[in-house]
Amino acid sequence: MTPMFWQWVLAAPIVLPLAGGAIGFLAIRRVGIAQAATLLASIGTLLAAILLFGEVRQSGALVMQASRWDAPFGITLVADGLSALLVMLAAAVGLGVQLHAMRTVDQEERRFGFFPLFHLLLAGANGAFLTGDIFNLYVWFEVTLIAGVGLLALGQSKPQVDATLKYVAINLVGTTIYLIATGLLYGATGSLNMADISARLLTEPDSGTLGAIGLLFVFSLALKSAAFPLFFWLPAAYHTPSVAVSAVFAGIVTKVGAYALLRVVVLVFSPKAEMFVDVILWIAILTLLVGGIGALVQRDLRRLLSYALVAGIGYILLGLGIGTAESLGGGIFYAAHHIVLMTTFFLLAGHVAGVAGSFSLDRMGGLLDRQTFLAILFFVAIVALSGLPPLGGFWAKAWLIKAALAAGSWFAAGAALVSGLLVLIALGQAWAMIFWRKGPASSDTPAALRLPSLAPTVALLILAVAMGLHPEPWLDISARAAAALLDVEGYQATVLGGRR
Amino acid sequence: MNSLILRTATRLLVSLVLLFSIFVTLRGHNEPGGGFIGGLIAASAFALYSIAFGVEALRRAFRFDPRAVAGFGVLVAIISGLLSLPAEAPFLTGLWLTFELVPGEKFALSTPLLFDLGVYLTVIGGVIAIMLALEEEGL
Repeated sequence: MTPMFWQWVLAAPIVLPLAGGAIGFLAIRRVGIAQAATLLASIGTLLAAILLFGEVRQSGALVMQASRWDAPFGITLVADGLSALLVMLAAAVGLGVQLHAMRTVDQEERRFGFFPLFHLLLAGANGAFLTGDIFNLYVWFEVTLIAGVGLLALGQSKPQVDATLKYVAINLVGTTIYLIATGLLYGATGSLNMADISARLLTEPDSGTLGAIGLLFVFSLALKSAAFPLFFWLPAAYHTPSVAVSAVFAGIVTKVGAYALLRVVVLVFSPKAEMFVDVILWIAILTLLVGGIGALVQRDLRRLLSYALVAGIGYILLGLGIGTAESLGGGIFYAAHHIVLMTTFFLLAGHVAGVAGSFSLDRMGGLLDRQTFLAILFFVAIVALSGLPPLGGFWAKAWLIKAALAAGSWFAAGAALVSGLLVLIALGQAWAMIFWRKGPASSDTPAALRLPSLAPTVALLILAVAMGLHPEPWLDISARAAAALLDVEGYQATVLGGRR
Repeated sequence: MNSLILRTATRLLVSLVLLFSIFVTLRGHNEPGGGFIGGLIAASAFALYSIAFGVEALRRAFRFDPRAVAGFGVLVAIISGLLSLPAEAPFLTGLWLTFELVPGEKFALSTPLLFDLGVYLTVIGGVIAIMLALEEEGL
């Protein structure tokens, strides 16, 4: 394959969803065409992402200088191990949600443009994963935000508008601060290319200005990934839209923030990263605890999952906060597993609500006899998320805790264990309430669950379980992704030192 | 709004503003301007029209669903980027076709121009879709 071929494969995960979304909008009156175009785009994206991942794994990071403007002047797209892994999993999850949505999203939302907006969102997320330019990253944040707002508000019900406003307000603050920080960094270094900035920062003396700019980045990106103390918008926004929307937000959108934080701290600020690693460690610990405690008291299934999601973000950030190659690897594995599992969990919640008639745990019960299969799926997902062996969460957490102990941060290891326990209790309690206890007396016959609508959820759950049952390749992939992320000089050489 | 002065002035202004938007878009290749600002100017012409004659009149005058126009714009921009595929250049690379219509006068068609037109359409469609959504219940 020629180098040019790989450059196009690198652009495909952005171009294909964008094209699918554009065609979807063009055919906005004909839902069938919009659906077919976006489905094709999903499949194409997944194929391209798998190709890209295979190539990056085999022969290292891929670089494309868009418009043939060489770095650091043009916009560079870079796929290293971490980007390629996230793009591939996002594409897999995207296809799963697309298939799920084609069965479940109601006509009204289809007419308003669910599928095109969804693909715009995927294009934004993939763009953020693949860009090597710090300002371009801001643009992809905005694309994701615009599409996300559209998706959150689709149903136009009052609680949805309420949730959307909270989401928009807080995220606009986040992106604006990110933009200000980018402007200041440009003023300080004269470059927007991430590799170039990190090279220039090597010769800069430590200063209060750089520390402040770095903290602005940490603040805005922690906000975007829903870390402590600015996590409250996530449970407030994720429980109102249609299930497919909250699933894709939970799986992909939160990881965009976490990924950007990894990239900015480890790559862009690599010479100065020491300055904020401790801050991030404490953010991670508090996020872990607050997510776990928050999950315990929720009575709405999707709110409960949202707090479990916040705790998951804590694990990913913990990998960064401890700051060793091992801990980063653990965090990346956790993130990879979390993308698949959290999406599955929200889809499962949708199925549960479909048969129980509500997301409120107080109104559920007695589903074990009628929905045994669903109960088993939910149970497996709980085991995988809360980190019981032998499923995925266990390996990631074991790796993280080992890294925390090796780095001597006992407190971090303790927080990781406690948070896992809290999430397990909260989810176990939810399982008991939904399935185990006696149902409400007036249980009118609920809509039967049909296998075709359950199939994408099951497929994603199988993927998540497989990651846990056969973890060696994923552990290897994550370790290599962490090594590539930490190899700042190699990254600089790939991006700045000519093309492949 | 029912005002004779506004309606009369609007008839005149709309065509002028639309022309100006095209001028700004084409000028943007080498000088200040471009598809984004051109699209905003054109959208403001349509906004003026809807203030003077009402939302229904704007819908009729615009003919297409604004969201479809926005989608078409994005598609045009993507196609302008894909044209570098047969030329074996990276995504979005600028390509030029130069004609000599009149001897000595060169006339160039380029993919950046196509990209700008895509942006122009996307902005018009997007802004009008937002405007209509704010003006009436639903789309």
